[in-house]
Amino acid sequence: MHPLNTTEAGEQINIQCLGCNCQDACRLRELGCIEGVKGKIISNNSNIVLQIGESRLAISEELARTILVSLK
Amino acid sequence: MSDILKNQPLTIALVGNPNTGKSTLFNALTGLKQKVGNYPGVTVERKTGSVEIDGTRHKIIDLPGTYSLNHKKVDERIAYQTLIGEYEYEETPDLAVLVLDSTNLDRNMYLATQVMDLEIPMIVLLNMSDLAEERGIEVDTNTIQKRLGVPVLPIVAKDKGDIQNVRQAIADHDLEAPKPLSWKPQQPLAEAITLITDEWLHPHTDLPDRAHPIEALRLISNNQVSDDFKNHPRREVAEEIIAKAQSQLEDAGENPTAVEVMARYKFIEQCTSNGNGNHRQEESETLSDKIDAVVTHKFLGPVILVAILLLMFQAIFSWAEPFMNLIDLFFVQAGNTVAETLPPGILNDLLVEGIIAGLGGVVIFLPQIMFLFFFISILEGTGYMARAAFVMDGFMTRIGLHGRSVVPLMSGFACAVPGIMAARTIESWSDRLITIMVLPFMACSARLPVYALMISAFVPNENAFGFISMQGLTFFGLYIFGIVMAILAAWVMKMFFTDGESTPFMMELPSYKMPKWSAVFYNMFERGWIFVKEAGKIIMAISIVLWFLASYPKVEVPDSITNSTTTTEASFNAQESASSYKLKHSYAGQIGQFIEPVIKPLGFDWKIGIGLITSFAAREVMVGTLNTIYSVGESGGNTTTLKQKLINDKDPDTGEAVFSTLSAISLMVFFALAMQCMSTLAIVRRETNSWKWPAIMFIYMTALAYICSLVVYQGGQALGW
Repeated sequence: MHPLNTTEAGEQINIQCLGCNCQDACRLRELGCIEGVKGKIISNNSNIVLQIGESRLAISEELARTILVSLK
Repeated sequence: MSDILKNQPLTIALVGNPNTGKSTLFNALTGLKQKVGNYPGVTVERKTGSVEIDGTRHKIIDLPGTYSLNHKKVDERIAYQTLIGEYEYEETPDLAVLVLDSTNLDRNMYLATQVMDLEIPMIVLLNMSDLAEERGIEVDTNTIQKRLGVPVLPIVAKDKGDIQNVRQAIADHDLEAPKPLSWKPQQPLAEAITLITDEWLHPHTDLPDRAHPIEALRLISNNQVSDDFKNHPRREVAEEIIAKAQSQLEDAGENPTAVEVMARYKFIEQCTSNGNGNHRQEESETLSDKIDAVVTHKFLGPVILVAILLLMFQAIFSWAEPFMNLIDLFFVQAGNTVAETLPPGILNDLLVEGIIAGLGGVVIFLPQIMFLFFFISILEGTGYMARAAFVMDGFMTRIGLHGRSVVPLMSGFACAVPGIMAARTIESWSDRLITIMVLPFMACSARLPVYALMISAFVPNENAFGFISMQGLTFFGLYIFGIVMAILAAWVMKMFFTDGESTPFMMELPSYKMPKWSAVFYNMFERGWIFVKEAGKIIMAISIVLWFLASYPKVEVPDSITNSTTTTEASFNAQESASSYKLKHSYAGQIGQFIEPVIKPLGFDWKIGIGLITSFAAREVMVGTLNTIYSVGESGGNTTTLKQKLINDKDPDTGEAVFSTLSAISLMVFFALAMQCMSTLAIVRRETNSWKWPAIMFIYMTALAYICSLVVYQGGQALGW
């Protein structure tokens, strides 16, 4: 498992664990960023753009560090 | 609809995520029958309207766009409380119309499952079904309808036929609530909900029964007592029960903060299993991916953003000019016509010198404001605005702001009031407060009149470096000055507000699309009208007060000024001197002279002093004030432009020009920094719910303005400028 901020554009990932605080994790999940869901990295310029389903989420580096993912 | 209810007027709530076309649908249903205002006490926009179906007029509430009813933000709370009938300023809806984005159904359905829990009769509209089809996303309406047990309609909100179908669906609806918790939480979650409902919500709160399950889930997933119960006398009971429910879930191997979301998404998957799922990830790079790779790029992103902003402001100024000239001409003509038509007297003076002159000074800047909102609407409509926020996040965090601060700050270029309203999207209180406190430094459109007047009168229309006009450069410089001051102020304030609660940046980037032109123009005219209406009221009142202050008491001009001349030219000069004398001895002149010693070191005379006082009501009043002051005592026939009058204005005692380029710059610096806007202070009061912050804002901004102007003027003089 890697922190989300270490991934590269174009990589397919699988969300494994949201290690941020409760409120942020809750918000992420509501936006579709849930443990077990597949996603694709659109860009990683310290801040991440992550595609999950049809949602495109922008996530700061600070938050991305707390999200653990596995590469597909 | 059952026969009894057939002709009952209903209250219908439109519910949906942001960017789902909810507003387009609202406009299509209500047409011009709508009201835009604010909810009392908060800065969330309230849009209501009405629609007539089969002879019955139903009320429609366009609830704030929200991703979830797990309300953390004020707009989410309003949506939630309205739906459960607990919001004191809104009627309880009889029917909820959910607007979902067909191209992103899974995420949109999340909110739908929450609304269903509230046992409110509902219709689900799958909007943008054309886009979904275009992108090859299959949406199985029948399966969704069967699973949800409510009417489901694929629509395109722009399509007239589809709107007719929506009207029909409202008319045909039997107003029967869907079964509670249609997504049926499994054990042990169901047990936890029962525990909280039976031991806390039912005995200790007034919430209606239908809100119990969703409230219980909220308490479980938020891992704390919500703000609503913070001051509840039995708060510790709630805390104990929540802890009990959570440990039950943990014992059963569930994550209490994730279990609800997981369960809902599992249900959604069953509804849309034939639908869009994860199909997209297998595709190759789309155009949208390519655009995002560029505009969210670390270096290119900010460069593109600045280039777009520069182009935008350039276009605003050049496109607006012909319209402004026309408006100017119109008001000069109107003034002349009224002055010649009506017999001389108080009414003539009041109309020409008070009302027409003051109003003309406001309306003239309407073109710039409308063009600005035209561009802002396009940036929002295409989906770029969210990228701008994202691109700026790293930088904004460093200076003590938040990526989301970019949108409010950019809106601040038009007007601080909507900008401060837009700051509600920033979740962290400290980020939000700092954004609000520095936002009025952004060069709002109300400063433009003063900048435009001073620059055109006192900055030479020459080219610097051979290609950039000095006037344009000064304009640009003033904008940059405002931005730099905002950054510095934010940086200083961050040192005082280190509460450690800043929320990390996360937001949805809406998919790129062509802006809806009808919406762009609608927004442009709506904002223009709001500006005229809101600013117009204050300015009209102030213009009349000013005219009175500048015209009374009527004093006799000494013979030494009026009768000492023989030639025509000298007679004209005498007339000018006479009006100057009258003004100087009026109430306004007395106030201006009273404060003159304080503002003299900044290079301002008493006329500017009067303008500074009146412009504390609203900055653009300055120009109206100067117009009034300079037209007092003048005959209607020789109306010249204010600009010319400022240039020609001479001190009657010394004969020197009142204004120099240096004093004009000093004035512009003062205007760039001073807190001269009642509306902004009022909205800050509402947003922060205390007079403390507007008071601090007023004092620190005005003090800063005074000091900077003093440095500019005195420094400039010392350097011999």
